Amino acid sequence: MDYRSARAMAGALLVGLALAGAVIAAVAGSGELPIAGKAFISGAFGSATAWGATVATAVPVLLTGIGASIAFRAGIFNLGQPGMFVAGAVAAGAVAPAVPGPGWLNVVITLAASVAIGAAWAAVIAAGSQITAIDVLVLSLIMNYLADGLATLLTTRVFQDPAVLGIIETRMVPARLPLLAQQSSFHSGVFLALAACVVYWWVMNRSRAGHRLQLYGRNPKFAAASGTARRGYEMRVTVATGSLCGLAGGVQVLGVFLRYIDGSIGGAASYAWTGVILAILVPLGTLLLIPGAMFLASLQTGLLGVERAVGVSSRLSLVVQAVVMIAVAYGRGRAQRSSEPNAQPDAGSSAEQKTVLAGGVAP
Amino acid sequence: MSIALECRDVQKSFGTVRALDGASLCVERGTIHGLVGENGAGKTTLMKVVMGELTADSGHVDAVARPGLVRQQLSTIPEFSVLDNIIFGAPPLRRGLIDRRTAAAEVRSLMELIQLPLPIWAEAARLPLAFQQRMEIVRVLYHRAELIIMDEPTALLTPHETDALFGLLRRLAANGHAVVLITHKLREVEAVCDAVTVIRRGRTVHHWDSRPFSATEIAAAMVGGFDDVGVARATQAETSQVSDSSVVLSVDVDGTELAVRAGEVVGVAGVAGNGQEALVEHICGLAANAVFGRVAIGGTVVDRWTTRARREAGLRLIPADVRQWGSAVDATIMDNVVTAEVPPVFVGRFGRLRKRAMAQYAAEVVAAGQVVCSSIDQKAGELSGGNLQRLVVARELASGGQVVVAHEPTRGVDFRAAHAIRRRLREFADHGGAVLLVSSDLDELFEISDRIVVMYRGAVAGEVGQVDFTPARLGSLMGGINQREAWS
Repeated sequence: MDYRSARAMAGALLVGLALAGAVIAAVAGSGELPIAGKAFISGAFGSATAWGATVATAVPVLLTGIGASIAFRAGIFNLGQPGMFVAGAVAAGAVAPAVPGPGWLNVVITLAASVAIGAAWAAVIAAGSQITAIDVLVLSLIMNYLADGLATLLTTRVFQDPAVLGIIETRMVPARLPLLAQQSSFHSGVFLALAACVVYWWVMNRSRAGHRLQLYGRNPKFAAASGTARRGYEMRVTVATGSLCGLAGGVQVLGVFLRYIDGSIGGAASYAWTGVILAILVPLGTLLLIPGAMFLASLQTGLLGVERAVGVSSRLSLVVQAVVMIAVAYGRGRAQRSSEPNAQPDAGSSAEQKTVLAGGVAP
Repeated sequence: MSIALECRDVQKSFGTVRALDGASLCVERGTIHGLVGENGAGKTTLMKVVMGELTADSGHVDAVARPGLVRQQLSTIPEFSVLDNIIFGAPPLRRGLIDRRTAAAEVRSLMELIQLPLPIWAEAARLPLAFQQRMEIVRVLYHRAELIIMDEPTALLTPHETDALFGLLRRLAANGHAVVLITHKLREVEAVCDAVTVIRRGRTVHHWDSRPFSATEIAAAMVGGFDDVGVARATQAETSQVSDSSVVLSVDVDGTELAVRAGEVVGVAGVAGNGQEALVEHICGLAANAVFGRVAIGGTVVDRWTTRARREAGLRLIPADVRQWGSAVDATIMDNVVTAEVPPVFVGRFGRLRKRAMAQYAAEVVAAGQVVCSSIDQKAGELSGGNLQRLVVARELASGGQVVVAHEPTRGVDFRAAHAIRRRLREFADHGGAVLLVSSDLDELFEISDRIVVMYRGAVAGEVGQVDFTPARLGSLMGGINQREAWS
């Protein structure tokens, strides 16, 4: 990462924080700002419970973020991560209560099911896009709504907990990911996420698969001429994304909710969207993913603290995320334009757009 | 007859590239004037100057008659009616609204004049291509053009439609219009044109103000003279001894087998767009749908093989556009040498890359290809065009290759680099490899090929051995003339 994108990121954070401050001042009065600041810090990092909540939030963000990052690095603009995330969560909620056996085995089987269903959902997206020739960006976005709808339908009709009335949810899972601190949601899924980060870093920077992914993303035609078959490879990359997002869904069910509760995973505030934002914010293939995920998670938990203290909705985190993202994309685009003064003028406008978009997510 | 268009000694440069270097063209009213030349000769640039889209650096351009251009890629708006397409840009208005009744009357009388009835209320997209093209002709006439420039108008037409178009052009000429016909098909020029201008490398090299002229004469003028044929070629005796068992690559091209033997450079000539690109993609397994037949590498049929499997069998490709198909310009030179499919020798346990070995190999390839660069960590896009080309050639010729498909391997490369690349291709063959050289540069084909196959309309028009390497012979095959004769 060069100093330019570092500067762009720092500037983006300042802009985001200033905006958040302005909104809080406008809603609650400027006198409340110091209180809001304190509430933010204590909400995100003030106690063991706060730390636990922040880390537990960072876990699905990291896993879906890695998934998104793989797709983006291959130049595949798949935004179906929320759908894959939901698919994994539903699978966990459905499978875990149905599987007997000791706790650890139940957890392993459940997570395997989450991975499989997330991957299957991704395969449907990739195959659908290839067969119908609909752009993967469009199709994957639509499929997110389909995933939410199917999840509700399946939970109501098939997996509903008969003991519960009025709430659409599956039965309680028999075994959970062990808690690492009592009285918090700090669960052992964090080890899975960290392991995924390390493996991701190694694969991206040291292995043949990462090398192929990188070159494919830089020029798929050149990769095809060198022997990487386009359709098959895009399918493989998308399935890898789906596996990680499905795993995130399973971890979320086994670590936080302990059952699949309708509406808790999907929707506009899905952690998978935060993961997508992480993949766009952080230069691909670096371990900056971890602090990045912690930052985005602390925005959510910290602003929950602000909501409790001064009554400004924690949805403000979405606004801040969006502003930071736009600022970073702007900074990167500018850096790229200035580093390529003699870009070919006759390159088609669509190709140029794609370059800028890729520049937004590439280091 | 009065003059409709006069261009004298037109010069136009783009940066260091001289697109036009003394082009002259004089078109009289009431005539059909053929404008011919190889790809990149400057025909289109000259027409852009005439249309006013470009300004000439120097020279004299006087379009007495108002020019109108019918492009090869039709600019039809498919959702519009035929009428709206025709009047688009200058519709008759009444109180700010389009007056379609007046427009229809005007267009109908225009169509009557040139005996070209079209359903003016129909949706343009529903018309066959040939009719859409006629619609565009009516459009330029509606816009008061008197000099109609047709860019490759017959590329998409059947022979019957072509005859109909030529009938229309004749009627236009009889009405006092002037027509400029840009085409590669010399037979059409011979059949329909009253005068011909030949452009080569941006300069008018020959013109006939009136008949007679023949397609063969035009072909010879187009490609120009050649000297010292066969500079770097291997001795002919060697190549004629190789037997059929040494066929390394064979392709079924529309019923004719195109075979390349070990130690041989086979040239593929032809005017661009006669199937050469599809042939290259077909051989390498990159074509979306197969238009040619069976492909065999080293005697094994590889039709259903992936590109990767074909490469493992020894196939190598130097693509025509190395920036698009042969390199990743944002990646380092090293990454470009090892490519997306890293050879197994550079892969350790668990898929770990052996980066030191990769770097060493990349440095060797760079040295062998005489690529000028600061280090192998430099981005490939920072290399000059010629250097990038050298890099791709060096990579593809480096190791394990049995047969190389070289498609325009020296396009856009300066003379020295081009010479080096040709020498390397020839050496590759001399050391037992097979080379299929697809090129539009006849000098290049003559210099290193053992024989040349000419493609015309997706089929083999003929094959020429070294003794017959003359521009006239090749030119007539490329223009689709004397197919039978060339075989004998």
